Amino acid sequence: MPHPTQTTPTTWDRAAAAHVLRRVGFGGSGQSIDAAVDAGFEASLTELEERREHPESLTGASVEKLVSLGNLVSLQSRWMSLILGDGAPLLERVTLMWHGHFATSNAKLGDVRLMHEQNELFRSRGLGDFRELFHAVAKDPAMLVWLDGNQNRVGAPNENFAREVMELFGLGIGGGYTEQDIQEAARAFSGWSVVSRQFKFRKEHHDSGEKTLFGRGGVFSGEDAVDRVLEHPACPRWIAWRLLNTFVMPDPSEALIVRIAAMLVEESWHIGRTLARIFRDPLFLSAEARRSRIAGPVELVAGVALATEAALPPLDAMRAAGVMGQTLFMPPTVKGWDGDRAWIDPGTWLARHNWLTEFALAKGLDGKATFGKVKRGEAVEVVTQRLMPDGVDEAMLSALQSAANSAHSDGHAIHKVAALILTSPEYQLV
Amino acid sequence: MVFFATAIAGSLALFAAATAPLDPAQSPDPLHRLRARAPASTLLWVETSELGPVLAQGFSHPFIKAVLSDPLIAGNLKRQGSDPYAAADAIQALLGQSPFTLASALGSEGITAGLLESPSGAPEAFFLLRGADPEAMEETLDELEAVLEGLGALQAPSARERRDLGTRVRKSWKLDNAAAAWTREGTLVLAQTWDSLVLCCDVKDRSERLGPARESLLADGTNSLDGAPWSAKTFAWADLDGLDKHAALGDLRAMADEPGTHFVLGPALAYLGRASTLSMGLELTRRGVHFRTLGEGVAVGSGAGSFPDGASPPEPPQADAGVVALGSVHRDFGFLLGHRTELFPPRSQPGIAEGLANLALLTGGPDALDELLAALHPTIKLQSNVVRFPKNTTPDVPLPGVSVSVRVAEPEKNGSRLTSAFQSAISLTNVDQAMKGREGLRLALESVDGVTMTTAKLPPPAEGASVDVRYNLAPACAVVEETFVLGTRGELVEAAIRRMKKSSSLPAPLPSVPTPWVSIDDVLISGPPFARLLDSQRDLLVMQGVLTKGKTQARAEAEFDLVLKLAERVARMQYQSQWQPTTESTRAIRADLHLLFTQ
Repeated sequence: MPHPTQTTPTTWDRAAAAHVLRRVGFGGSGQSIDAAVDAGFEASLTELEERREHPESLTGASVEKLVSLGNLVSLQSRWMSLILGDGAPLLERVTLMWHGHFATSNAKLGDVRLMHEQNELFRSRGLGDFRELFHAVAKDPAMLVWLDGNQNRVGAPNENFAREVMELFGLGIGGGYTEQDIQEAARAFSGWSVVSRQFKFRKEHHDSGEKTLFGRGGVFSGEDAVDRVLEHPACPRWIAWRLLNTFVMPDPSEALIVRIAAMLVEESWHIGRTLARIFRDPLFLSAEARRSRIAGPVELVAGVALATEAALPPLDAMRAAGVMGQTLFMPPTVKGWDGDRAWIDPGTWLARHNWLTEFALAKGLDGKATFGKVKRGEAVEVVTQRLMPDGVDEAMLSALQSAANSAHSDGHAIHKVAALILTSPEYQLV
Repeated sequence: MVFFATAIAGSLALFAAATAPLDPAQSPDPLHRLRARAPASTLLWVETSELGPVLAQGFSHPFIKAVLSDPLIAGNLKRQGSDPYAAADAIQALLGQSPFTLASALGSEGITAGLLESPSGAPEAFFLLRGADPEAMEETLDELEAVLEGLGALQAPSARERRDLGTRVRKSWKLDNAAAAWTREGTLVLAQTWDSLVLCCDVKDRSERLGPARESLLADGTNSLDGAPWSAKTFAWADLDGLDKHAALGDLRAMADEPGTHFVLGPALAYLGRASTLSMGLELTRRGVHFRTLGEGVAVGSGAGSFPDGASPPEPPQADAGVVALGSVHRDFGFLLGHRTELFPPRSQPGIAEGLANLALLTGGPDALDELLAALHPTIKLQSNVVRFPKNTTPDVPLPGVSVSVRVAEPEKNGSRLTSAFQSAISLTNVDQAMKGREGLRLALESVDGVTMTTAKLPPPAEGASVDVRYNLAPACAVVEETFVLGTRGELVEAAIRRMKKSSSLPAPLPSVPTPWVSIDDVLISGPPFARLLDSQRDLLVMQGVLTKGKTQARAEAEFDLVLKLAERVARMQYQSQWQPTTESTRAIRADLHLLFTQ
């Protein structure tokens, strides 16, 4: 994939490299940060974008057997393993983004195979043309069952699927559509169904009459309805918001959304190329963007594991993220996870705090393997450099030093400082 | 002077008698001397006479060689920075002898480790060692003493301390807090404290329980897989009542309070933890492994009724081709559920009640369920076979099929209830599947040798579609005279019907030889199909290791290959449990595990 003109950041240091690793992927170890600094911004970024090194054992024929078992936990663990393995950082981050955007839950489906096929769809098309992805997701059996799209028949329309196609997938809430548009789109989607886990168009259930969508009339099919949504000016803005929210900053300004929406259309809706331009935009490395997002549970757990190079079992990591409020393949509603500030409430904060503390103090973190043999006097510097390369303020530094001084051994100092950093408010930001 | 000369002469004579080569015919058990030395306050005792060849050959012993050359073990040692060869060299450099030579000289005939209740009341460890050649043993001890003295590690005991040990001890040493003694009959005693050493060397207050416990363990001791006698060369004994005062044995004691343990493992294992004493024996030969555990003085309390009465001992299982496992187990559901409030703690009651309520939905209400459970005979026969799946329906993960058969009272009424429950369960499953837009199991009736069999099958998968794990299930059930048969595959139930019809026309088997032991469970597992099943799912099982345990791919593969290698060595495995009454309120329970290796 050709990359846009390189925009060399003014300062390419460990803090900037760590930011790129956290945002393009899920983070990296001290060694990865150092390697990225040495390689330079463009080379590091390109490598993260293009890396496709998932192990054959997690992508080959044995995955089919795993899916055949019909066990959701295995599927969740497999995805977490792909994330923790860091074999395709951007690809997995985009897959997670689309899982939240086109939220589908196995809680209703109870069909691990359909969930797996949808997940693979996000993986295979998530970085390509959004229009193709949108069409494919609209016909995805998991989605149709999830939103009752397969129960939509002429004379007895089910508007659920059509509503979410506009409200959540294509235009966003208040994205310039009316109830009438939803009803008309539902007529267009009638006859779409699922038979033996495959999409099937049942002509006999399709409303072949004329419909009016966004003020334009015609004998629209379901595919036409998706095209009409894609043609709506709110669509690129909605997708631009999603990309900015995931990769750059929460609550982007309207002007920024419009700029990135134009970029998306210029790139013929190609997500990979649009993201490549966003990553090379000065905004991406700006102070405004850094540590501006609250890490979602999957991001947080994976980030901790990658930063500390801990051999965290994928099953445990997946469960930890679940306790913190993000269970893979089980988004809470059709809206997916609200994200951002909603990630942290008294209940989920307690879960985060407990897991991070337990990881740092009780199990998970191998202080010696991660940080080497460190004297308590050096503990703060060594651990901070690894976990918070962008530095910490004086007050926190003092608190960390005090914790290190009160530790009963050099090894304990490492664990205490790590626990304080991981549970700090700053660490929850990526 | 005369007194001393007599004493020395007497001691030497005793020593000479004690260390004279044993006549194997007179003493086939080389460890009896060590056992006779166990203090009366012994809480735990582990003895083995099987280490002789290993100690004699050291790193050249085939087992040690195989263990150390295994890639997984070698990798683990390397990762931990452990080098057994370097460690052996270091010990040799320090002590002047290879650790194997040293250990062989001191313990080739037998080594025991134990815990005793010390005079202070705390449990303390002790070790007893005997070499095959007392002279070599003494020579080794002299050399060791010289080295340790040179290193300043030995302290001389006081005259009073030596006196406390008595005249049967030739030499004694103190090593920090620990203590050691070399007895006149050739046993090296190591103890955690001097007081414990005194207890171990005192000949007056010996345990009278170890010998009889071992005798009881060895009773009827043949390896049922090949009929060879066994001698439990590794023997362990625990005074659970005594240990319970010092260690928290709550979980072990409370196993009987867990409904899951009763239902899954059976009454033998559920109540074994309530034994007063527990004996265990292990023997490893070229042909296989035999492990037996015997619990004596097991307080069964109100659970006594969950044991079989011995009126109809199950036939020993006979495996044939295609059989993965078979056996008979005793689970008296009627008794356990009828006495659930006495047997299980209050916290288990809601779970049991929920399970029963769900079952009652299938059987036509709680009263019908109670009647049904009381009508089921507690002996359940199990059989697992390799399945030959029809063309295009072989699941991606093919599993063996399982069938269970159980006798029912009033088969006309209760058989129909069970068949209705089966059909209701299938229908409920189908409703759930239909809500997910998936195909359900199609119920049908078939006739096999005049017996009506209810079957349930999924429709064939679409051409080229993957065949998920549900296709392992094509359940069926039938009532054959007084027996209800239920299987995960119709073909298994069909085979059971034919087998039962055929056997009912044969003359009744001769009554078995009476034995004081009543059989509880008897399960036989055939090794080769099990190993083949493991091998065929290697990639999946390795992946599970990666996903659930966080292992690297290489490590998960190495671990799996080691397990597979071991599984391939097993031709058959048999688990048997039995009981016999001892007093009104207690009984003895024993469980045997036999592994027969492939030759």
